[in-house]
Amino acid sequence: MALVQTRMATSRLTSTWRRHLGTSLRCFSSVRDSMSLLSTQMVDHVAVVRFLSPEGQFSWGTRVWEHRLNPSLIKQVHDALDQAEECGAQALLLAGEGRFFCNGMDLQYISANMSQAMAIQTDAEKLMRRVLTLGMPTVAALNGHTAAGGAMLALAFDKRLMTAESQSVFFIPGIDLGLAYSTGMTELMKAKMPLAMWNDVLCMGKRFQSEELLKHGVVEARPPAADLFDSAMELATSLKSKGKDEKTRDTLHKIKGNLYKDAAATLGFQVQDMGYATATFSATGRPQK
Amino acid sequence: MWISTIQRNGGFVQARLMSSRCGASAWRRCLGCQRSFSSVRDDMSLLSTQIVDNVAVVRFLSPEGQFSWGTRVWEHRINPSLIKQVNQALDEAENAGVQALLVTGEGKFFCNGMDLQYISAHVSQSTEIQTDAENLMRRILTLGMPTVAAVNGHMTAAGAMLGLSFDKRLMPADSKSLFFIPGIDIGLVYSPGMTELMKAKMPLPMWTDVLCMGKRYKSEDLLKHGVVEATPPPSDLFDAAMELAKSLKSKGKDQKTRETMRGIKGNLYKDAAAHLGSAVQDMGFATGTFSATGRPKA
Repeated sequence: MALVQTRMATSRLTSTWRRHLGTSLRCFSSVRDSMSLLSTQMVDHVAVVRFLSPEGQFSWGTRVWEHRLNPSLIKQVHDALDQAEECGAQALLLAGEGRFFCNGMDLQYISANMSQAMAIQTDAEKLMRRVLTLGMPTVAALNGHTAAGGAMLALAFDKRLMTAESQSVFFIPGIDLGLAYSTGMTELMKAKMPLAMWNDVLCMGKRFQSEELLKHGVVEARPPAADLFDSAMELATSLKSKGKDEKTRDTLHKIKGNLYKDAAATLGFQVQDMGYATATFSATGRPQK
Repeated sequence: MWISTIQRNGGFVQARLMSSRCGASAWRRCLGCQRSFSSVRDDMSLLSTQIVDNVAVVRFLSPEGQFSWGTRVWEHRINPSLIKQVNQALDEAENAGVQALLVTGEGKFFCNGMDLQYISAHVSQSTEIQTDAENLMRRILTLGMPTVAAVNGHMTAAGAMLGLSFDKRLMPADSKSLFFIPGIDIGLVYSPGMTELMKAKMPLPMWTDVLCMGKRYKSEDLLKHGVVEATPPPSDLFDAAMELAKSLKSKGKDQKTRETMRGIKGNLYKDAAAHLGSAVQDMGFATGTFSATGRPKA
């Protein structure tokens, strides 16, 4: 699926996508495990990646619209980033649809493929590292819940906007599930949140809404849901000069590599077993009694 | 009589809740028979311990009087006795499976720093004492349960560092109590461990002022910087701290959660944990450019 020049897909048109995809899929509860999980477009030199939200679940039970991190999503995001880089995009925008931006690691997939647990965690961390040091400005439009590994992925971006809708929460619940964060994840979180938040986020699994994140400077703005995508596009467009040509993009990649040195050095390395094998969490991510 | 009771029941006991209103004055009346003496027994109990609703409550006691080396007990200064007793209290809390820790003091001081008069009288032990103090800070910093400090009074020097080791601090509003770390004024350079601890628990805009300039802060300033969670009225401090500790119990609810908490804190505070108690450089106690009461020599 190559990047194509298309007419700009505004947030109004996403409902068209749903209608297109929905009719044929609604009759089935399962989707093809190999389906496309995201769309890619180039809009005025901004690579726009959207997590798709069809109804239905993978064969292992995870609902697609949670945009959870599993081997499929990780691979497809990498492919999208490869294409963005090859096409000389000057900025990156990632947005979701529906209730979830990204609800974390795909725990049900991992439960069903336990021997892959370390490999999947490593791949997720490597994706975070790639986004963290990407040689172009990166913007995440947080349309909904941003949790656990999904929150870490969101933090890897330069900028976040989050919908002002009060139902959407940002939190990282490792403490509640018996999952201690790896060194790389810890460094990433410390690098992207102010110190005053560290203890609450990492040790207490505190839940945040967009207003509090704005106060702490973790999100740039909190527009209403209907304006989220356009605001994010506007921000990404305004930053294009920081990815304007190959030399600039190379510079940005290196600046980030130094700025986020500790996270970059540890994400994907020394990946310790987070406890998936001892599985004190249920596969849906709720603590076991 | 009160002191011997505490010593006999050395372990954690389920006690009726000692509120700050009734506890302090009762204790002082109990200890009234001590008023005639200026010295206390050097090995006396310096703290009380209770479990209240699965929260371990540790209080620094504040009898009148001073140790044989001159330090007033109610300053709650860090000396081998206090370090030992706090470690014992933490041992008992962990063994009892509590779900949160609350530490508070009484009177004008939360903790006024290292016991410099003790060190002056035992200079050969100064490195060892500093190591033990740092080890205690590291232990609290990475303790496998939520920790709350109800900062009832002055929190200075190593006492401020100790206070920073906790997850959460509450400090009363409109109080005269101060937070500051005056190493610069008394010729004491902070060890790498102390430095990493301070950097890990105060936001960047505070670093230069606190470490290099020994700036003094009141509770309102600390609230603004996010170093304290809240500034309740003085009479509400303990209850507010208990409420906070209870609200965090789910983050220490069972052994697995507590192990997870230790693991998370160990990574989150990796640099401080790696250096506290290790590579303890001589902070200059031996060269003693401070007076034993901690004031700079003229």
